[in-house]
Amino acid sequence: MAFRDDVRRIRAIAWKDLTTERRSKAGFNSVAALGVTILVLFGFALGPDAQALRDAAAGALWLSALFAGVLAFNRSYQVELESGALDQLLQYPGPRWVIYVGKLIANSLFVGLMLIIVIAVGIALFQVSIPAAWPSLLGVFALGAVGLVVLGTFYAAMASRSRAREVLLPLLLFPMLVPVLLAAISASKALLVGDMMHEAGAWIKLLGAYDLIFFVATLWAFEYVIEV
Amino acid sequence: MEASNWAYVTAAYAVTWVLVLGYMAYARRALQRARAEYRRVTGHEPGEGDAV
Amino acid sequence: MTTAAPTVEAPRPARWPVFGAVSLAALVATQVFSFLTSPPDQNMGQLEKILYVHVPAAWVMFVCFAIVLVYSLRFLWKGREDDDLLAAAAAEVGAIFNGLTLVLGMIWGKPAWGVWWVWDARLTSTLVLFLVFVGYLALRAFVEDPQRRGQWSAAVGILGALNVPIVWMSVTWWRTLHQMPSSMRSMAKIYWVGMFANFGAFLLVMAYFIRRRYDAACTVRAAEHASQAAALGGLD
Repeated sequence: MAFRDDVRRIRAIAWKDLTTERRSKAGFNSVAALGVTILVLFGFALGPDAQALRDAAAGALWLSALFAGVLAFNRSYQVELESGALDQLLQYPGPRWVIYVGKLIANSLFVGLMLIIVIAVGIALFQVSIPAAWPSLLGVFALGAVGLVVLGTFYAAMASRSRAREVLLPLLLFPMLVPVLLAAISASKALLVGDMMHEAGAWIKLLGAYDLIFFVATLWAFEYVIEV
Repeated sequence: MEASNWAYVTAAYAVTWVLVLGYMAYARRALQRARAEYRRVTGHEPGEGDAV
Repeated sequence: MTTAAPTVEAPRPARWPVFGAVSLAALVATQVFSFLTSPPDQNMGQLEKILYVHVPAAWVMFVCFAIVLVYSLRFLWKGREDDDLLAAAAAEVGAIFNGLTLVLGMIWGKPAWGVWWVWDARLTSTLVLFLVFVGYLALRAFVEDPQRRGQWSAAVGILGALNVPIVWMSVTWWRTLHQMPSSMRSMAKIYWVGMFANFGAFLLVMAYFIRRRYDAACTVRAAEHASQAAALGGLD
């Protein structure tokens, strides 16, 4: 019974965050526009040679997603702080981790949607030809996005409530995401050229393990982070 | 090769000692500042019973 | 209840300066010993003498971060402020030794590999670890409330320590084509004696550093408690 209540609470929090985003739209639009802009800048830095662009496509895509994602995570708490809503949220009954899981779901949809836009633009701009193994590639993006969202949502709970949140979140988050970046970029690169060396599988396993480990760890640690 | 290696070895040990001694001095200064502040606030030496 | 009861006391000035002098003397002694006992290598010349400081610095850095992990967990478990202050002191000292390891690695790399930096598994994961703990220290600098600072940095420290093996694994796979640093394999026994002697001396220096930084943090907190109590019209 209690578990059903928790599920309802999670849904309520995710729905609340998504409704806020849907009503304003400005947040999502500007974050997605920033992701695309960074992608274009990478094109200027690496192009115009088509082969060089194709080689760097995976890295450029992931870095654009990373930079744009950072803004999304801070926003997710900033909206709460502006009206003192977080304090009220903490007053409601139910365990703290449901707040975290609710925000995770909302942020996953937010980042996932942004990623789709960035990928679509990236495929066009960087002249990537879609490989036969595109479902695996989609899986890599999903697993990488989960890792990004899990740690991003967790660290933003601290950074957004500190002084200097703009610099603190990337400073905390980026070094922690090195395995995600390496795994996601290497796996995407391998899959884009047909995965002749059969190395993508190991990277995908690493991504999955990373996601699982940090999902459990942040779920446990969130209570200590949000209650003070 | 021998001669050029010595330069790197010297540099390595110099860096180590500069860091160790520098950090030691920094830690010492920070501790003294903290103790001075403590004396100013409480009016007695650290460790002689706290104002609770 | 406006202020928590002080859980830290300003430590009495003790014999730690003596301990510091002894650990410095030990460091000098072990370095002289290892210099005198190590024969020049036929390939590397005198270069392997750098390893006497480089490798123990790396080991000490791991000891520091293990202390951060243990005391962060203990702080979240028991909630005693001194555990948090000790973890923070160990994190700072660990970052110092981490930086030293990186710089010494670069000084080793230039003559040995011909470049200051290679994206080798060890160097790269050491660098990532350094960045994680720079973030830890930055977080502490940006948060004033002690309870919040303690719980947040404990979470960051624990997750950072959890990440070390994953970073190591991912960077190793990423660099599978790279030849592993081979210097350690060929080393004679006498090198290891010097290495462990230096490690012992570094451990003493580390203990001294952590203790001093911890004492300073405790004194600062005790002074803050005292001035808060005075402002609230308590005793004094």
